[in-house]
Amino acid sequence: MTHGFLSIILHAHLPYVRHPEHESFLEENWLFEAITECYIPLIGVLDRLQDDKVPYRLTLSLSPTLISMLRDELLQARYLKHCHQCLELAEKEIIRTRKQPEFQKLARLYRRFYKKTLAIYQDQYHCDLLIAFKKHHAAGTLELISCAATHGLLPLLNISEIAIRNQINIGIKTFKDNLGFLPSGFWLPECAYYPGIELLLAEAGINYFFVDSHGIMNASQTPRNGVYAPLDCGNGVIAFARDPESSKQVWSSQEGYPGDHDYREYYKDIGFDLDLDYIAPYILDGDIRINTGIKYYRVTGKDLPKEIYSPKKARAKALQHAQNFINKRQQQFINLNTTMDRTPIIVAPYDAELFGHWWFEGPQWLECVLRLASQPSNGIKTISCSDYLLQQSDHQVATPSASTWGDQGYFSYWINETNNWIYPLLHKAEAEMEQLVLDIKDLSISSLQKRALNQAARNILLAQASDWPFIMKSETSTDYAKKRITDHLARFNYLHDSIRKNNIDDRYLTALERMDNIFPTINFWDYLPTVK
Amino acid sequence: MKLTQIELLEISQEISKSFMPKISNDLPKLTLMSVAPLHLYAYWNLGSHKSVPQQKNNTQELTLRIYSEADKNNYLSKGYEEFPINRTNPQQDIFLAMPSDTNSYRASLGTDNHQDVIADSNFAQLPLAQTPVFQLKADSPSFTKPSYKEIKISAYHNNSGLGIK
Repeated sequence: MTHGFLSIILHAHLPYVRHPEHESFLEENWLFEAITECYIPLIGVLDRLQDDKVPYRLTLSLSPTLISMLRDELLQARYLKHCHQCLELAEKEIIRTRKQPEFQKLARLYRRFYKKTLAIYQDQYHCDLLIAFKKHHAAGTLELISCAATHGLLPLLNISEIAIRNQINIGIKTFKDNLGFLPSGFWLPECAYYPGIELLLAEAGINYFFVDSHGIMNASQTPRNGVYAPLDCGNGVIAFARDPESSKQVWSSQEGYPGDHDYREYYKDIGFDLDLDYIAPYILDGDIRINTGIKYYRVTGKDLPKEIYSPKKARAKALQHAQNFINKRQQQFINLNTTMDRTPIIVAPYDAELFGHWWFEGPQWLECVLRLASQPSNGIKTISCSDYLLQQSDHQVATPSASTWGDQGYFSYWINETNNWIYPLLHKAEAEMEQLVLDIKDLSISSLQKRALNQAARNILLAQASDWPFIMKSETSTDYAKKRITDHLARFNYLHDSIRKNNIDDRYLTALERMDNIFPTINFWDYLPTVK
Repeated sequence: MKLTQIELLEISQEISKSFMPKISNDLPKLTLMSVAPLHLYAYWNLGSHKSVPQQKNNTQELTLRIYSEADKNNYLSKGYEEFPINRTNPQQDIFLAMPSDTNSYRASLGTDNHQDVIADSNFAQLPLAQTPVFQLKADSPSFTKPSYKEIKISAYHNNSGLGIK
């Protein structure tokens, strides 16, 4: 008997980072590390579950920028080079640690890990990981959903409805062009919701989206079933809420699983620990230390000398934590079933990059959770939100409250003293784009002008990514984030100016198209304001 | 068309240098944004409105008034909160004392007790805050920052600035 539904959602997103104007570029490693540590291990989990015929449902949100990067030939070639370099370092490590058997065992593990990564990436999926996700979608186990075009924080772009509509529609179109079908669900970047966005989601054919707990708890009507049943926003688009309890077990620094002492320590990386001469070929410019991905220690405990990592102990802990997670859900369902008028659904969304990157054992934990949940005796059924909506058709009608899942729960992480200067510039560029398209609407447009207009639209979208203000606030890579925003706006200004003056330089335009090659089917007419 | 890596880089650098984004000041404009419960953010251009003091030593006070949606047609009623403006900085965080019934707000920028209104804003809807925010996304085990991007970037950028090889 099913006591409750569990919907686990992984949101996979990275900003669009691709620099053909450089031989190599440090920030492209964000994608390469995520492929190695998160996406390929996740595919490994899905493949094993399929081989073992485990019945499960999981939801994966793929952002359009990530989709585009995973399909990009330049980045695919650069990833292969990166992966071969990791393998080379692991082999070198096996030799270096020959007198330290415990370390050498781990070095061998890393070599196996990179060899397997290469085999999955290159041989099994021919450098296109979307093939793997599509396969599992077709098998009926993985639900794939979409996200906004460049992960713009929609409530802060809402000065223009066209900006929101384009973030949504271009995101969905990119998803469809690459995956071959329209998504039922939509991941609002950072779960950032404002009342009214459901109208644009409905217009785009979206059935459901997610908000944080307080978005539902502060809805226009008190939610009868708390966060354990979704709300109908009034137009048939359904809002599901994040469950605080299941989130806490993964995110919390006090109670969260990833901080367990047996798990692999993220920060002790040989890129920082070994002699510079030795590690030089694998770090930045041969002298700037960066992570290499090879780490030999476990979390150990606060203020204690780090102890060597034991994969066996970590695996056992991942299983234990998975069992604990399932037990806690069972307890929740027992409690909820005494008060609810329907089968409860626990919605547990996480960043996909959490699993495998800083929580190295995250994919193992996820696999164990899905295997345990598949046992009928547990009374838990994993489900996607689409499945749930097929089973449950009547929903309480109420409008969620504006909210995000970020720090403080609202928009302040993306608009504050570190990054608020970007909004006048972003809004101005958006308004200029719309005015430009309005001004030319009755004119005949040449192919060169069309290309320039489409390129201008690409730069508007790339400047709108929520990642840039996020990075500025986190004060980690502010120079890069500022440069990306100002570069995209400068490129927009250049194109806007050359279109207005009718002096488009084909060479310059071609260069911009090569550098910002995202959204190949974009249509600038989508920026045409509706005449009221 | 063949373009080398160096040519791409040169074009990128030239455009970045020559077309830096700038705020335009041609028309008065006021924009209001929602940040958090009772927290708005406004930015504005004063343009060349006749009421805008152009001289630095002008002491005529500019103020920002925030109206709730219900009071939108009644500038002189008491249904507003007023905030003095720092002339040198065309943006401001606004913390309201009380929520209104509608939670929807609009602003105007004016002088002379708002007999002369320079610009009106769009409407901004503030979030409700009856339930405390569940704060776990920003809280993670043994790391100072929660997200993949933050951790990754901090590890990469201890020394490297822009990170261009």
